[in-house]
Amino acid sequence: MTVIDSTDQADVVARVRDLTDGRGPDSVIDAVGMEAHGSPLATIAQKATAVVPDVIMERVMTVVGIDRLAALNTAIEAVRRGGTISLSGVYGGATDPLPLMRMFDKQIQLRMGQANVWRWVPDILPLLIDGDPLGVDEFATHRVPLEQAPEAYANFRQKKEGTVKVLIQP
Amino acid sequence: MRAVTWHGRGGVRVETVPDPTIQDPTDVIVEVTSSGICGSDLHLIEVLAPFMTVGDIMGHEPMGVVREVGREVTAVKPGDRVVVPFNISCGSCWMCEQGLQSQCETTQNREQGMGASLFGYTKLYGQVPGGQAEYLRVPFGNTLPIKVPDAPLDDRYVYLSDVLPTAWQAVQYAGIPQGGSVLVLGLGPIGDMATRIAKHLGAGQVIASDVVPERLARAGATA
Ligand SMILES: [Zn+2]
Ligand SMILES: [Zn+2]
Repeated sequence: MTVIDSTDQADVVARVRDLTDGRGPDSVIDAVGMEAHGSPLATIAQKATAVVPDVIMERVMTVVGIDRLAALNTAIEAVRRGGTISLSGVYGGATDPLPLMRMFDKQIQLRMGQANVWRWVPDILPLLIDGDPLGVDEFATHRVPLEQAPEAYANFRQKKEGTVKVLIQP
Repeated sequence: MRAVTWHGRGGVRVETVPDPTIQDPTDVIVEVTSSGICGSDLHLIEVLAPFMTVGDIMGHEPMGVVREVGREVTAVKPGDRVVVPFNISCGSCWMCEQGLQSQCETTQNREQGMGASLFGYTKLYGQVPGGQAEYLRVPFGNTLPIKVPDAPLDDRYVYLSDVLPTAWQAVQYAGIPQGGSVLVLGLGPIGDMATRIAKHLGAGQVIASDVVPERLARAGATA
């Protein structure tokens, strides 16, 4: 597997092209939506302006929204012509403009939505019973008792101490 | 019981709250043994804060042991080890039968214009008490809990609640041709797991990106 530092989003597109015969990958999975910082449910926020304090709306529409679109635009630019983009996690964006001309011209397919857990259980559970091909046994970076949950949340929020996945074990 | 509760944008607390009880004849009560903290839990103390109420119990990635069952529950019994899916789906409506449990027509939040209810996830999704607690009330006891073997450790099964099906669906929806290439943007739990599943299901070339050096190192190490 090749990993790329995406601090510079334009660089990601160029590097990925180089790695895929100049075409771009068949598929792009945008998993940034699941990340801690960003991905407001902007559609919801839109519907709920009456109950959302201005300061939050402002954040939704500016800082956070920009981060979110950066990842999605990277996906649209990076994917090969005729390829597929899969969005996981919570995305909103009633007001976020998408480059539809570019998407149409590249003939991009787009799928998304919250996981349908039971749809996939019969495919996944047998893998876990036979062994550990996906490395779940070592997947958690931290396991903490219930009483330490507040510190674990804080570390996760600040991406401190290498926190990727925390299991609370009451 | 003790539970992780919401207290505004400052963060969460651990408090003593009433134990959950059987309310419907198909409910089960699960004693939680492991419960993930999800990236989307952080949204609740950030942008989704206005949809939360002080004292709401957090968490939607639990597993544990069934302790009590309602009188109509036949699929699980006290002592069974179960994982609880993050979406609360009835398992028998038209949407559930299509494999679209996130759109369950029994638990859809129509007045909010939203899909199926979720554990521990705001008024928009039913304001259902979550699984970062000692005990959890689980509805639809005959269809919702996922029975798992008694061994090995919780780590093997707990991600069936969210991380594994979310990453699996992301890979399936990506439609990667056999031997084809995929770029995964973001190496949090879902992106990281999606790279592993893509390889497992036969992707020929997996490329991934993130801005956090530790996450790049972690994903590079599993290559
Ligand atoms: Zn989750
Ligand atoms: Zn249903």
